[in-house]
Amino acid sequence: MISSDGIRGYNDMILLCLLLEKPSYGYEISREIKLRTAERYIMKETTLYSAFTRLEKSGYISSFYGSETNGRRRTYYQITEKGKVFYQEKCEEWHATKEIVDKFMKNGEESLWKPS
Amino acid sequence: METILNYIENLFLSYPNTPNVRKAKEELLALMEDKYHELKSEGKSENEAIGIVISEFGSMDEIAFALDSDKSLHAKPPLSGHSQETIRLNLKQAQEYLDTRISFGIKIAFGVALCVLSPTPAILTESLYDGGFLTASLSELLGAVPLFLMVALAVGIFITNGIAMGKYEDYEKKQILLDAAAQKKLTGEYESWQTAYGRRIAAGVILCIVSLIPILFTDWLLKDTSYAWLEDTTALFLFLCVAIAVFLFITSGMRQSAYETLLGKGKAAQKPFHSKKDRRISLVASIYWPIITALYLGWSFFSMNWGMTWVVWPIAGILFGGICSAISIVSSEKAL
Repeated sequence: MISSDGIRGYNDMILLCLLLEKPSYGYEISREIKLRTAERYIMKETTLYSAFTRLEKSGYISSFYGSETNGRRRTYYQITEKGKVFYQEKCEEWHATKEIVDKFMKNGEESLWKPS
Repeated sequence: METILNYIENLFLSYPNTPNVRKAKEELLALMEDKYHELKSEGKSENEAIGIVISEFGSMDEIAFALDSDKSLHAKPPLSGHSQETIRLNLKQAQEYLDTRISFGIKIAFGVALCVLSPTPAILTESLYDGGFLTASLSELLGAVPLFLMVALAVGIFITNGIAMGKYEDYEKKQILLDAAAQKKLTGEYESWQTAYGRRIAAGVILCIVSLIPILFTDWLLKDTSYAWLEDTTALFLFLCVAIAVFLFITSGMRQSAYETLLGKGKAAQKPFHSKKDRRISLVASIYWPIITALYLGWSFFSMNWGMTWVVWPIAGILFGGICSAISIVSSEKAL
């Protein structure tokens, strides 16, 4: 399991990425994240709900009521045009960031400081 | 399942029943229920499933901003219980209020239906007199006594029930906070009731229209016939239809407004002070119907045109429906 603090800044991107594929509802998204990360990242319910609310407030996603299942109407979310643009920008930003940060992250033995 | 509901309910105890909070509650509950069902279908035991769902729920701090627009309202500490503006109800209390309001509606509707039907014995006895089965004075007596009894019974119902509803005055003045179980159950009930409500109002309107058909029919087509019993039968039919229609309007209207009060929906949401509406309606009914009765008797004895004067009743019945609506509107305007 990954610490939720470390990944916090990227929750929005995870949701936007999944909504880019198709409109979906809360639990389906949560299950998809768990599945794709092989249970290494499980998004908490409150995290999920706060991300949905924030994204909707910013106009990156919009919600609508789905058809009734089990006597309840599910809230579905879909990505907006503004959301797609935002996602694109953020992806580019991430790759740039990653490239830079990678230069300073060593893994395994490499990270041990060796005098040259 | 109950455990999850209670868990959410406790977490939200200190938050007011505002749209944002309700939405958060509903969405979180839906997320948890979906997860719970999936875990169960994977073969987890009830306890295991609940344990996982609750451990993965997260922290309320995270969604605080989503409820933030309501901050000013939840300045009170958790479990403070009764504030001046809110009443907290659990499922049992909410159900009790709903049941009382429904049975109140039925009683008032029954009283009004009695008033509408009160001249029918007179029509019957007159018909028997026309047929030569009764003497004139006996037929008048047998018609008048039930009329008075029915109106008296109805007035009694209006007054006693108006007083009985007094203890729920608070419910309509203050904001009602339902717990999660009550909110969920009543929202479901309310939604399925909407269809029935629409159907009943439509049925009432259709009945009002249908009630006139036989009278028009006999008047037009059977102008020359001397079948007095036929006219009496059409009059009885009209009274019966109007009585049923009025019964439908009042019972479904009362039930609808009870749901609206509990769930803070519709008109009730905008007029937290429509408080004394029910009692006003009883009060008006207890004055209105005796006046109508007096009017009916006065006009009838003065003109001795008993075959005509009964039109007072269906008109009065429909007018009463109008007065009820007017009272609702006036009470809500005063509140604003």
